[in-house]
Amino acid sequence: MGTGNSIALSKPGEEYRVHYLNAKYGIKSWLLTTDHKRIAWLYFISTSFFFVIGGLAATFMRLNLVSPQGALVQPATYNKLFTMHGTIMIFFFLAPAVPTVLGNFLIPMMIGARDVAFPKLNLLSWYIFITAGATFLWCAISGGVATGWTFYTPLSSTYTNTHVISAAMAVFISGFSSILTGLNFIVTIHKMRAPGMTWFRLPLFIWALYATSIIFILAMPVIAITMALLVVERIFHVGIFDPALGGDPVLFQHLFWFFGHPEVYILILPSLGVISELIAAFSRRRVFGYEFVAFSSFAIAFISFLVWGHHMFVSGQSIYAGIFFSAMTMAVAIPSAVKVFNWIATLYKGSVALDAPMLYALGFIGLFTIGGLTGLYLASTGLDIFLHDTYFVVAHFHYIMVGGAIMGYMGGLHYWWPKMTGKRYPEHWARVAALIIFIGFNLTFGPQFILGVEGMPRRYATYPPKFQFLNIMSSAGASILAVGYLLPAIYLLWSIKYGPAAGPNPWGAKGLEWTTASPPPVHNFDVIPIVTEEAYAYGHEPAVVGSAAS
Amino acid sequence: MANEQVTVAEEHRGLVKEQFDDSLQQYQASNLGMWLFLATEVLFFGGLLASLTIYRYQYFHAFAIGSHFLSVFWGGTNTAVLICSSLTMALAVRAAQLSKRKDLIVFLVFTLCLGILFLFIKFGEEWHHEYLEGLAPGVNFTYHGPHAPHVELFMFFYFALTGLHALHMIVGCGILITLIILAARNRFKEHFTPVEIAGLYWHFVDIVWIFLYPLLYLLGGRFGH
Amino acid sequence: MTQEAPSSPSATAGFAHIERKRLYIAIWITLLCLTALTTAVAYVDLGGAWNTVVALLIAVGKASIVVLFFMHVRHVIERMIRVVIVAAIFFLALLIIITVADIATRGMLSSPHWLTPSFFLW
Ligand SMILES: [Cu+2]
Repeated sequence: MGTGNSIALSKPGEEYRVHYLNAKYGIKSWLLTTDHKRIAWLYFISTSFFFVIGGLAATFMRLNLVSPQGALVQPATYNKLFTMHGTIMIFFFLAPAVPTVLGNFLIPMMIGARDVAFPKLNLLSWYIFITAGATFLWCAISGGVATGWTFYTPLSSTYTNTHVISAAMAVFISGFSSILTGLNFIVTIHKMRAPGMTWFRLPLFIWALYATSIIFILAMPVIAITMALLVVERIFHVGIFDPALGGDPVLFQHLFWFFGHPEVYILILPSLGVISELIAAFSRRRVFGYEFVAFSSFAIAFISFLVWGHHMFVSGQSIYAGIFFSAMTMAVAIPSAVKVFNWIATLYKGSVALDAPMLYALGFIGLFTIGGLTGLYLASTGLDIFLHDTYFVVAHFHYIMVGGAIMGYMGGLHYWWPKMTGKRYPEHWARVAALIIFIGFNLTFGPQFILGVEGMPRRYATYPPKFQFLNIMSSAGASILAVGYLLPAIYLLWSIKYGPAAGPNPWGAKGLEWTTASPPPVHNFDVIPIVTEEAYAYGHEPAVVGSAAS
Repeated sequence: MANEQVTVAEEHRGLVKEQFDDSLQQYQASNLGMWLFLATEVLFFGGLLASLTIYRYQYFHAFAIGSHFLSVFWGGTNTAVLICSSLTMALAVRAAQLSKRKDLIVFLVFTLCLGILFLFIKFGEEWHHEYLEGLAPGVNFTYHGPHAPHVELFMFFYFALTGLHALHMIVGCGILITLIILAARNRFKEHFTPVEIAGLYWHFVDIVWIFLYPLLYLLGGRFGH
Repeated sequence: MTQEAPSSPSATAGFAHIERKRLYIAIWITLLCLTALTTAVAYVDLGGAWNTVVALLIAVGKASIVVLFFMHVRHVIERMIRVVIVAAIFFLALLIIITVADIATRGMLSSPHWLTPSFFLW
């Protein structure tokens, strides 16, 4: 950790204070740490690394799609690129990003605890994650895998010559990292809350992470065993999923999507929680309908286990199963809409401040709504037969995953950055970056809706010339998006060294994490706080921007 | 109160980790953590059980044929062995709760021996036999009677489920050995949480076998087909 | 410290309930008897799927006994643990039931009368 040293050196004029970053030095103090805040940094660095790798794969894909014949790579390479992009982004960036970076850092601080319930297990989760990531990189280096992130059989079990086994093992291992993280979070939220921190005083981010952890616990083991079965089938040629050997390929899809759809909510639920925090903090109001927003996270987590067959409408699944899954998918829109409407109601008559995190939050609301509503198109059994496996699907889930999950992550990262580093980033640059990301994102994925409706299938390296204009638009948008992601990388790193000191509560926000110093002391609080007020108790005192807490 | 004495003793000896307020909180957190892990395990075995259910539903006769190749005698014996080990484990936890060190070590050793006996029967007797019979799918499968592909499928699930279960037994035995060493060093004096947590795991592995025994060995009855 | 502790202090170790040895022995004998029973029943043709149903019912009974007594859920302080158990079983059931329901209805390609539009329109 090079950053540790530079943060710790306090400038002249600042009083010297021991905090979690300067309490110990050296690479060992980071790699063997059990401090949840340092583990959050370990995750931040590793997930950011995977984000870059996954982003590079996407860059090559978008470059290739500039020309109808494929401008850059062979179709076989293209298959490997989108598999790498999908697998890395889902298993090694999106799923861990918000829970393990922001969640790890904030859960103990938000509930008033010294650490998570099982700090060593927390570190073990990271090592398992790194092992999984290394396994996947090894797979990529040794030639890659070309099955798509879904590993559908019998392509993956029998027909492809690419390195399925190492890729499946990577997913298998990463599952256990998530399981242990989820377990740790649930126990922490249950047993480690400060005195007075009742369930309905918890920040909504905690509720969202709790719901996410439930999905970790219940869905991850299923993908782990499914990947194990895939590996066994590939090695021993036993007909588990291969119809030629007596197996059922649709069973693989059942098992995969029993995990796979809840996984989508693993990606989005934590960001939904982040947005609740941002909306409350930057409109200086208690989140409208707190209980509804809290329970909608649970409703989403629960229903997400009942919708998996909407990925299998054209896989030969029973029409009655199709009807059931379609109806359930429509139902999951209700708790999602509850959140959106409650956020808007919170904004209403709030004193809205358009700081960079809030820009991300507002962008999130719009993009998440588009992503959610287009999901309803795909949930309709009849319409899905037309849209299935077209770019409409690609656009839809990128609106949820990039427009939703990553926007939430970026917003949260900016909001809590001063807490994590003790430094402020340049606000105007951050606003510019948020705007660039919003524009670049819509330019990238908006055209893909049209491409999908016009019938362009996903996962092909080439396409008919009539689709070229929209594809070039999309690729141009992607380069703007890349600039948008590069900017924060630059100014956030810059701020670690040169940013002005943040003070304990730069946003004047509510919440226990803002009552302690920035960066926080090793065990978060000098004295364990006693909670006496509701979450987001704005309005009990005049809202003053700037450091209010002592 | 005896309770408070225990608490004070645990905190005094540094057995309460620094993130916890007291030993009760630590005890409850560890318990809840273990149960959540077991919930994960249910779904982990669940993927296999769901697949087994589906294929059993579709290829009932083939699965019955496969089931008849298995030895009810050894399966039943192993069930009894595991139930006995659950009893000794429960008694070990009880001994730990009462801070009876000698009893604790004796019962843990009993449990370990029963666990090893189970593994010995499983691998040495059953798997060995089934391999020689040509019933190991993908490795040595020579059955060519009716429904051969689906009988192979059944045998695969047999090996996968019992293998995964045996893997859990091996991990359990490792935990038991650790506990025995720690108990010999008197680490569980008035501090039984680790023993209780390990007990939960051991009983869970027993429960898995309680389901595997009828699902694999007694499938659809043993009265001929 | 804990309110859940029974009246006699000798029956607790800190916060956990301690069962009597005799109870554990009784549970052990019950489990062995049920194992013998489930084995014996397998050799009797109960007709149809009943052999499977009975075998599974006995297994559920045995598992419940282990959970309640050996795993101390009968006296557990942390109520959340019961929720965890029920949730695990529930979601496993969900996976199995919905997947089997798909396979069982896969062959029914024409809609039953009550699902056709004309049924709602007349
Ligand atoms: Cu889905």
